[in-house]
Amino acid sequence: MTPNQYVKAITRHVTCSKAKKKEIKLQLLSDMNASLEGGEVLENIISRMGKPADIAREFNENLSEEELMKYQKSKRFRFFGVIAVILIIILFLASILLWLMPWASGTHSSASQTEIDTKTEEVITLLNENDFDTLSNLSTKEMVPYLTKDYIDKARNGISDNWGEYKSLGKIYSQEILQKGKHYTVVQVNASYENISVTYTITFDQDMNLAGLYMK
Amino acid sequence: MNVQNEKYERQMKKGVLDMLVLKLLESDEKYGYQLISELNEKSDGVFILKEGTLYPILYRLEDEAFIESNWSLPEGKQVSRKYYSITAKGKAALEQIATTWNSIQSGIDKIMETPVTK
Repeated sequence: MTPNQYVKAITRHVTCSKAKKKEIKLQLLSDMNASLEGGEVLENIISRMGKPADIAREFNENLSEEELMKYQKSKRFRFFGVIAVILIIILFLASILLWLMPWASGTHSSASQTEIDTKTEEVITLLNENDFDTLSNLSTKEMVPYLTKDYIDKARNGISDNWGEYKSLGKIYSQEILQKGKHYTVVQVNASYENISVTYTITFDQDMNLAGLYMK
Repeated sequence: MNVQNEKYERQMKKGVLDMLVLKLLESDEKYGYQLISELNEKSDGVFILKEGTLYPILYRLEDEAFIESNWSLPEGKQVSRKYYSITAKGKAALEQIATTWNSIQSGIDKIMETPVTK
């Protein structure tokens, strides 16, 4: 055991402020080194001084009440400091989790499945009726330039030039997604026409405005 | 020495340690281990102090401004030492404590030297 290890073993158990602990450490080391300089061997010095736990107990018995209070205060401060850090980490992780999870965010779409179904059916009906004015009113401003009969017909013709009469709508599937910090609801639904079955992928923003349309 | 005696010895010694440390520092500044050695030698082994007892006394006396300390600058291979010296306030306190001690000692002597009467 080196003098440093021996002194550390003592100060570890002394209940006082950090500054006082440092002072005790320096003084004990100084004493031991002075004895070593005087020719005393380390084993003798350690044997003369006693067991680290006994020396620490003696210090604790004799240190002032004020020093003990300082120690308890710093212990409390450390305890609450650790609790505060843990809380901050938990809050930080929770806020990240909230931000990542669409269902938990305050800015996500609060649309119910019924509202999503109704909106989807409304969009499909307006498309089938070629009522682009009404559809534009239900869309984001970025979508408006594309909601014209010419544009939509081009898209329709890309799939088939003869869809036939509209028949029915299949099951509506929806999923909320987060994109560039914004929440969207993406809906996928199959619509049956007389001659073809079309899959619509419709995107709504958090205010349930039409924000995207794709068909195949 | 039995446990009971050890307890009384410790209590009695504890009461005079402040005075003895101040007395040893009255003539010259000293470092911790030097005080431990001198207390042992000058008391013929009555006051064998451990570091855990002496240092808290020194810290308390310093807090009360009865003594002051400074670390020595090491010369050559010599290690730095913390030297304690008595202040004017400490000298005045020593004088008062010594007067009190003499009074207590005198009172104790009077009681202890009184022959036992039946």
